[in-house]
Amino acid sequence: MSIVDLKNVTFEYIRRDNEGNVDGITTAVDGVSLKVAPGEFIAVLGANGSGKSTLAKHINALLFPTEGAVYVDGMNTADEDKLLEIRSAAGMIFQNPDDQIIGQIVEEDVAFGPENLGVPTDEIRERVSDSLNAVGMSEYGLRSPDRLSGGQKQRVSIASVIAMKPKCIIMDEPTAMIDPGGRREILETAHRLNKDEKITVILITHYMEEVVDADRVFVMDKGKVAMSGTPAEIFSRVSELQELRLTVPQATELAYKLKMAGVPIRDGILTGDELVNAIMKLWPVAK
Amino acid sequence: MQKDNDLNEMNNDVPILEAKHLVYEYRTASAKPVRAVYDVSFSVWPGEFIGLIGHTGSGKSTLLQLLNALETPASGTVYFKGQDIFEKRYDRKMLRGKVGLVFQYPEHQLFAETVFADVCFGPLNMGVDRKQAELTAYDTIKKVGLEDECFYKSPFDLSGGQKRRAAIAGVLAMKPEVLILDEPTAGLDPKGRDELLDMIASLRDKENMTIILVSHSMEDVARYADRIMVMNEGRLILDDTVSTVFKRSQEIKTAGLSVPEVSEIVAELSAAGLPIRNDIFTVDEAAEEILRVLKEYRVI
Repeated sequence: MSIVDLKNVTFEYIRRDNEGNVDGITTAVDGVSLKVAPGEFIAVLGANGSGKSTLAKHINALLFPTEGAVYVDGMNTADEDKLLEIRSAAGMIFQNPDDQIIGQIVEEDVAFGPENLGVPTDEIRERVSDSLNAVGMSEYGLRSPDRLSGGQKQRVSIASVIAMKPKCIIMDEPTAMIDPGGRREILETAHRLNKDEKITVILITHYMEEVVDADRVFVMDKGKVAMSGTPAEIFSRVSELQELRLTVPQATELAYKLKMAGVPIRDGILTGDELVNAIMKLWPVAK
Repeated sequence: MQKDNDLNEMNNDVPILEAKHLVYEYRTASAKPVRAVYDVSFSVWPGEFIGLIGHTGSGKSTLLQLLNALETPASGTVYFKGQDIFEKRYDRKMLRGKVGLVFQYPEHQLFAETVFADVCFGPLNMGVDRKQAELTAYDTIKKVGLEDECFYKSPFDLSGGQKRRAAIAGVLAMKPEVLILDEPTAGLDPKGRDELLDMIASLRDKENMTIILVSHSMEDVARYADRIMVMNEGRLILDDTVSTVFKRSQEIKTAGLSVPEVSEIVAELSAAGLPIRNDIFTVDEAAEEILRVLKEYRVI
């Protein structure tokens, strides 16, 4: 069974002018169907306004489809009795960690979710320490969140979501405000949770190099899924991506430019190592 | 006109901004003040495009706020065109127009009913008469590349990239000589990032505006800046050309940052034995240099 199953999802909202009169209808998500298998690492790309965040909020039951249906771990988000269960099965991480940290100390913040779910105190303790451990923040349990770096804060947000024992985490541009060191920490954490804890990850990002290790990539455009495939498949379509206001990782861009200039290099290069190997293969060995 | 030229030339002998031994401390509940900026000194010359990088909490945001007098240093000072901005009688309101600061997510500060009214607000607030304020607003909105139909839209009906431009127009309408931007591209799609940075670069190229760009994207800094300042733990640890700074990749990584991906590729190629220049920081330069080597050795 799929962990996330979107069936022909459309989301429309009514635009109003300053006087509150109806100005028109915007279709933010337009007939999207897709399935995510348990344990997958999915990346979602798309220009600003392409509908990717709106789509993500459907998986966490923050928004409900105008048409179609959203199933999370087999539960329909239209089923009001299941909302709490759906939201603990599919946790959400937002762009700005300061918007989602509420505790005075780190442990308190991580405990908030399970407390709300009515988890017994002993188990809360265990979950808090396991979650902080899973994001590599065990030593910071008693610190105040506002003394942490951006990457550390975002990892605390992730720990707070994990403490609810989700099967799936949706991360909506979790690294947009974070420095390069923090970006690495967050990405490594996401991949570790995916591998070790078998948590399904859906990562929305504008940074192409964060996508290269995903299992599958969806590219959104004007509310629809415009492209889908492995990172190698997606990033070999350079000009199509550029038309969708996107780009490719620098290694891929460099490989593409060399290829266009007549260097015989294969398609689908994603990382620096792959490119270095491809170029050195052309290089005469013995000098 | 002649007089303006003379003035400009005179000003070129003096840094447009100069920080001298800046120290900043803040107080916490516990008695001891915490130092966030340690003895930072540097000069910024008119028309420079500076990339300011550093991990979260490295002191760079505090530094920006000191440069336009939103914070006061514990010791040391800042000179704008040779004048001490922390002197008692210094006109700091004027300074904040001349040294424009675009905060992170500046669109959160849009408030007026229309884009046009929002951009007029700054000049009107500075005492500029309405007609002049409107002319300036018109020019500025054009300059940031917003379409005519955006003028009378509510800022809230614009796309993410458009909102950001409208907010930057609000700062530009104050006619700053130095524009400081704190992560102006956060959350924008790749095309939006390029468009915004191209627009900022053109302010420097066409109007000789001095730019200080804070960014977490090493790739963007490498492409647009002529000089990079690196902050770490409240100290200015590196201040040099793009190539000199990114050559010191170990220090950069220790400071919680990175070098552009393409620079790592070039370094690996060089280490693997390709006779290639290693002071390369953009994809275009790398492609050109790799092609040069492959052609020279008749590989292609």
